[in-house]
Amino acid sequence: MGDKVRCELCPTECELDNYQIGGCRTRINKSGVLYSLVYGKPCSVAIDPIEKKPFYHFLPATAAFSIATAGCVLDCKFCQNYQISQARPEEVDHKDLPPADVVRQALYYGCRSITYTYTEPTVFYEYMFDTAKLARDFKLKNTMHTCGYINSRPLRELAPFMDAADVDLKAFTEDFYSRICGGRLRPVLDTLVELKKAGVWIEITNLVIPTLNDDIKKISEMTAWIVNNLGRDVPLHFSRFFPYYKLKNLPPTPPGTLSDARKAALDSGLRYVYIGNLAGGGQNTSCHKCGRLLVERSGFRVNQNNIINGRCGSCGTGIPGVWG
Amino acid sequence: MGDEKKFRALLVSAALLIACIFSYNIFGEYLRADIFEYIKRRAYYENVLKNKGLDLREGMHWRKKQ
Ligand code: SF4
Repeated sequence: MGDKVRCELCPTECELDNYQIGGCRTRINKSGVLYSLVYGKPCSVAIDPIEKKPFYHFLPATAAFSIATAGCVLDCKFCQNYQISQARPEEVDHKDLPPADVVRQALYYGCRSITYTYTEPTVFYEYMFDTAKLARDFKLKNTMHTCGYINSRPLRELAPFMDAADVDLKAFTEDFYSRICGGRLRPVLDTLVELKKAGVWIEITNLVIPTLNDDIKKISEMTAWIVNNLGRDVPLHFSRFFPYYKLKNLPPTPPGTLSDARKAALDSGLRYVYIGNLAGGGQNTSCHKCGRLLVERSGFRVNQNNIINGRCGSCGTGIPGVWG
Repeated sequence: MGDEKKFRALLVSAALLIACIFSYNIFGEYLRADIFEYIKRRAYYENVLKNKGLDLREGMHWRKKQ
């Protein structure tokens, strides 16, 4: 019954006895060897507009072949995909889709990128890693939507194959991370810095939840940290919360709170701040120099794009992002 | 075997028995819990996971605990 192993993929660093399954539900110790239970077994496969991830500065109006397996390294009380993120792999239907088939299908459907998303891609690290490596050979881009809860060694190994990451920065307090998500803030901040250093294009999403993380002072601290550590060009998406999963008792985020958060972020010096999950303003991209409308969006649709070769079509200023 | 030898053997067996009873009282709970947990986990793997078509793929980034 010895044969204990320690998983070093995410900061939880589970110590697992023989036949024990990790906190993410996707890794098992069998006779002293750690195995993934979800390699090539996605429970969700879809073709999405890249704007849905959300990426607003990465190949706009292109299709992203999106995959996810069951499991997650965190346990957020507001999770929008808890049916799969908090499920065990054996509880959900899955497809047999090895990396080569993911790439083949992405090409067949005319996608420009493969996105590892819906649940936390760290839990299917090996599957993502092999797929991303193969996708590169076929000129497909790789992107992920992640909570950033991953150790730095695996992240550094993955980063050379990752073109962009949308990181959920869920709040700017350790208290929120431990009480609401069952994790820690510090490793997420380290991930952001690591991704930036590795040259991966980053966008950040912050879900604003009434009473839990909507304090404008804290939001200003967060945006100041982003400016100081990642730069002014990182797009930030404030997303509207709707009552769901274990937080059904809270109301949806008032639109005014989102506007205040956006203003605070712009005041901190960020150049591209968006509002998501809310019909109306806050979705378009304008040139930070001349102010001209560059990308007009409604929902996940791009109505017009005036960025030419990565530059503002009006004043010629370089617009940060990956455009072609 | 002479009486003295028989008596000594009896003494040693009695001492061993007492030691076993003591250690069972002290560690038995942990031992039983460990074994039962192991049996439960193994049975879950054999009866549920194996039948769900979830093939195992060796993971990256882990190490054996000494
Ligand atoms: S990836 Fe899973 S098994 Fe590994 S440390 Fe994190 S929660 Fe535990």
